[in-house]
Amino acid sequence: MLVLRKIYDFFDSRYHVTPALEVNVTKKLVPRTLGWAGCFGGLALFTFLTQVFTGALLLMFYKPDPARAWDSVMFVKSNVSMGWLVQRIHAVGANVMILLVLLHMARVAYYRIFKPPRELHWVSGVVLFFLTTALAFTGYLLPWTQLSFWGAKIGTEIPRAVPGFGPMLVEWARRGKTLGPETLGFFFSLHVWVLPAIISGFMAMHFVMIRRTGISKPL
Amino acid sequence: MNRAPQPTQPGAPEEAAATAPDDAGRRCFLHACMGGMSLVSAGTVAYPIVSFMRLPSTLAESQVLRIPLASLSEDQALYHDHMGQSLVVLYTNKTPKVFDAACTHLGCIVAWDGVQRTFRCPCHGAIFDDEGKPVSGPVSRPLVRVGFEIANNEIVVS
Repeated sequence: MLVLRKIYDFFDSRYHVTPALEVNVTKKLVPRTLGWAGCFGGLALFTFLTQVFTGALLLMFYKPDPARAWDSVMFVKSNVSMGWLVQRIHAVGANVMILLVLLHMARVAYYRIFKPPRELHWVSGVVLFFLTTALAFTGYLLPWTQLSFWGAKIGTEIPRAVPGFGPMLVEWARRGKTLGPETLGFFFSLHVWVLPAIISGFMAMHFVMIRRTGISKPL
Repeated sequence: MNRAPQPTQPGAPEEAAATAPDDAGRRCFLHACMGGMSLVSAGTVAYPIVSFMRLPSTLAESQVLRIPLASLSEDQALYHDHMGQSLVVLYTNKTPKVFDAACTHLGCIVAWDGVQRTFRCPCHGAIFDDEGKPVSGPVSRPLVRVGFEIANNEIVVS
């Protein structure tokens, strides 16, 4: 314990950790009227972090190839110790994250928190919601099961309704006329790198804006 | 870590000083409870992660390679990947021999030359005969022989 104390003091004396901790964590006062419904945004962030860590673990075994994708997921579930748990947390966590984001949005809409000066909080939040669904949609294909294959097929069919560009968008999303290895590679890249990078950027914006304006004070 | 001091019992202000040491003990106990529960929580998160990182037992198992004798023909070499090694089965004078195909110089995979009846290394030109003995080039050690058994008309390398 004394060693930990010394390490902490080393950093504290140089970077003044304690005042920053007091202002932001230990001595920060939460408005008395802020209820449990104010937790949904933070919980959504927590589920996102859970997805990042469980996803990093699953990535150690996953192979983005139609011939081996399903086997690699089954290998994690049946042969890797605690793999079933990590895989379940990742799959269920995706649904939980969408649910929490929706609850967060419902609360913000109900209390009219999107009013000035917080309009852009709402706009960035809507972008975050779409990015969350995009992450869930691309991740759904990765185990290459019947459900995921047909789910991706129907999902990529939707943009066909766009006037003019529709068929082009469908082919772009499928990486060709039909779903195949290229689709899986594309979705894999989006799911593990592109979308997490974009969503992190929007989350950072969202949080910085909240810190600048402060949270909306309930009546 | 600093907690607000416990409000003293109403109606007994003169006993407040006397109960102070008890109060410190209680605070210490609560801190220990908090720390213990934090450790338990951290453990429940860390345990699945650490066990996930362990090598799955199925990956650590040694595998058995079975090659049917019918797949071999006289003076032909057959290459097989076995547990990260490249093995070559050479069938000469009606007897099979199994070598590690890695050249004993710097580990390139040697190629069988059926005409010259030699193994040739593509990297630095080492040449081995059909017994794996070095003939020329920058090598002094023969190709590594791999032990095998013949069972049910199959070569079994374990």
